[in-house]
Amino acid sequence: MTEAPNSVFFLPVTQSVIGLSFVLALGFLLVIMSCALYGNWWPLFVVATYVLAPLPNAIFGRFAGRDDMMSDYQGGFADIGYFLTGLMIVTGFCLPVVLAHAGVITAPAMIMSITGGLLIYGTIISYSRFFSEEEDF
Amino acid sequence: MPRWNEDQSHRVCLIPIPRLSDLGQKTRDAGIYIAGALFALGWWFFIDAVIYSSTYEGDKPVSVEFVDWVPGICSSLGMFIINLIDKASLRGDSFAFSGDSTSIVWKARVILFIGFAFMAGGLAGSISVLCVKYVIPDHGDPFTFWGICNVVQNAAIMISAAILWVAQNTESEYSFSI
Repeated sequence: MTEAPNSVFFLPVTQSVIGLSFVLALGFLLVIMSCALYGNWWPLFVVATYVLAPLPNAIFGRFAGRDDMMSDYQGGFADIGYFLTGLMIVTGFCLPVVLAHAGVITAPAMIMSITGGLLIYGTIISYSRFFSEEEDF
Repeated sequence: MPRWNEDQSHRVCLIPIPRLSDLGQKTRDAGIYIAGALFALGWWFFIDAVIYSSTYEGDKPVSVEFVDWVPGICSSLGMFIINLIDKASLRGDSFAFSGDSTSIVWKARVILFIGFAFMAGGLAGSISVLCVKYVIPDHGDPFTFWGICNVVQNAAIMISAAILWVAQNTESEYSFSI
């Protein structure tokens, strides 16, 4: 176990947590504005992929038993989780592109939706990277 | 890596193919993420073609039909079959359940062959659909794109299966070397 980092991105932890939450809110704002500005709520389906993306890792990671020292590690279950998560992440970015290509939403709405997705995923990844309890093997 | 030189006599290729067993857990996980991402990317290319075809306004000489779905379904089915195989049973050093283990190895190889045949058939089928349905009648710009999407889909699924194969073999080699 390492100690919790006392600075992230050259900022103290508290301030970087506040900054990350602002970035997350900005991402969601962009996604919602991409729907609301044009009165077309199709891009809101992207939010469903943000919610669904971490779920396979959580579910199958528990099956794999990586944390449990007593049971032997079953990599197959964890692999399904990783595969489905990668699938969901790409789905979140491909959905606005396909909608824009089909002419359902406009190109600015697509750009706002994708930028919002990048901000949200960046927040989630950097948060779990820096603030999770690192385990050293 | 002295392992390359030890079994020099058993090698087929003159130039040694580097073993990927030393990459470790992180690279393996990243490979599986990339495989999933490629799989989704391929299918989204195809879905784009389907949606674009069905929302296309104006008269179209061809549209995306069930024929265009078949190669992608074959490729995905092949990928599914390949990943159902226990990789350890291919190597022959698995625990022999009843009598000789060579029959299990051969069964696994037959299933592996069927899976790869499905995937190669999917890729070849997508290229033939592109040629027969879109290129030879020479329909022009937005229509040929639908056939190209089909080829991209099947190629992405094949690359995804290859990356998944390499990544998972990495793990089993890794655990066996312990």
